[in-house]
Amino acid sequence: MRITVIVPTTAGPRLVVGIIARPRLPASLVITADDYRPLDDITERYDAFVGPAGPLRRGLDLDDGSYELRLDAPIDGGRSWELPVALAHAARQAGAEIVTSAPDLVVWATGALDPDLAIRPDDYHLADKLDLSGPLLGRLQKAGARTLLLLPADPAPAALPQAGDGVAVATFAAALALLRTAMASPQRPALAATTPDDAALPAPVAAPLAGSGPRAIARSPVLVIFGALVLAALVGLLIWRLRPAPPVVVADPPPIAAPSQPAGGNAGIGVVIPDTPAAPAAPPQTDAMAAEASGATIPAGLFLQTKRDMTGDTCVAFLMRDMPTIDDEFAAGEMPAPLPSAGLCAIGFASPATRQHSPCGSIRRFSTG
Amino acid sequence: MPDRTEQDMEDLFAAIRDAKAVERNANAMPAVSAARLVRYGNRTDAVVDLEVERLLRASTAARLMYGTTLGRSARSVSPMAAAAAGERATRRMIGEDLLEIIDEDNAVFLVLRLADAEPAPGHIEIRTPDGDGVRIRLGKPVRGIIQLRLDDGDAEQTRIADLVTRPDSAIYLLP
Repeated sequence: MRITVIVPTTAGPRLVVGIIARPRLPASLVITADDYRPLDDITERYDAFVGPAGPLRRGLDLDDGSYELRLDAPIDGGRSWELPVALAHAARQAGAEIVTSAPDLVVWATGALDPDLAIRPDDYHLADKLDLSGPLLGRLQKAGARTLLLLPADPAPAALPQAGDGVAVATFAAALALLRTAMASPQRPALAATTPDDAALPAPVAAPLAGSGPRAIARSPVLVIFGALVLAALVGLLIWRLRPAPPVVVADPPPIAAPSQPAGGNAGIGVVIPDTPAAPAAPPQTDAMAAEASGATIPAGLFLQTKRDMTGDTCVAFLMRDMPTIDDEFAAGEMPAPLPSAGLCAIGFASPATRQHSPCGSIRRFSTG
Repeated sequence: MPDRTEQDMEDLFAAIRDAKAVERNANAMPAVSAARLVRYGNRTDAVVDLEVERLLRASTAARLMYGTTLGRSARSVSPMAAAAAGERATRRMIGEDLLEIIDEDNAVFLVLRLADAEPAPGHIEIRTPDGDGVRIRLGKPVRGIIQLRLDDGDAEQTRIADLVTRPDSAIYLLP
């Protein structure tokens, strides 16, 4: 198939004259037919684009070695040539002949590509480029060539009357899928009004782009969703940890806490509750319990009791900062030592109903580690 | 045996012929001052001064002075290649920089691999011992590499390829 690739610029359309593999050259270059010197402004970027670490080399699995990109006229600068040049490489790789006259298919595309071969949002001067390309496109279409007009999806080109039946694309993969469809079909390519994306590509189209590198793996939708969930969980945990510390709940008065404070760091803050049977007298009402009773700040659900280790840390100190915790519960006369080493902790739960209607001493003592 | 007088006459005519030839040559040599020659060597572009070029082809002394001027301003110089007579030098060190001529698929490329990217040379000048030569502007280096495509079909570019591969050419990398 004979394909003409138009690289629209604000100075007029440029044609890709050819792409020649130059395996013996140390670097790729862009050149025009009438100059022996490469085009300074875009040669360096083209070399990086198709070079060993370049996105197009990975995206199309190009052969090792350098390339000579020949244009019919120079391009002074900018990066919107990247999409059409990438499509020219893809067409050449698919066996198409790059020509500047009598083509079967004309590809008109503009857009700069990011390292993942997505089209960068930018001001591409689409109206100017379309106006300047109009005569050439009209001439080629009159000669019977089909046209594939690819426009960057961002900014949306819908308001451009010159765009005609152009297609907005967001990625090189989407543009490539349309190019392959156009190359495979003897008819005019079906140009959908929507923007195709990688996920919508049929497997044979997506597969060569996927390659085997880590970026290709990252494109898998399942893995992407999984990664997003993990990321959200990590962010949530971080936010939780950064929240202000809970108000200190102090026993009023702690009847036997004072002599029982261990020296190993297990004392710490919290309500000290004797493990005695229900007393006829009203139980000591802590601030936390009062709040719990009013339902103002204590949420429904289980209450947590933890025992700190000898360094003062608890298993869930970071996760449950908003909940009034009960530390170091012990029965009268029972002086529990702190957990014997750092990194160990005790944890248990009690229902609010149990606690709310029972004296403190009725709360079960938890000792599970 | 020729007559003595006749022999003297022939010698006289030959002397007159040679003298006239020398006079013609001197008249043909353009009047270029040394300062102009030095300025030409130190110019920062590749514009050709035809008078100076004619002088360089006609005068050995002018070529020597010009070569000295180029050598002073050059980033690196290769007075001649260490190649056997008649061979083409397709790989040549210009100071610390490497020049290669790569012939690939109907195209010839001049490739300069720079030892140091900065300061990058802006021009390359090639001079043969008989004064023929050319100065061309170089492009911007990419990864320390400068490449020029020399088409077979273009007379000027073919001449450049011919000059640069002559082992007796002096090559200067200039600002």
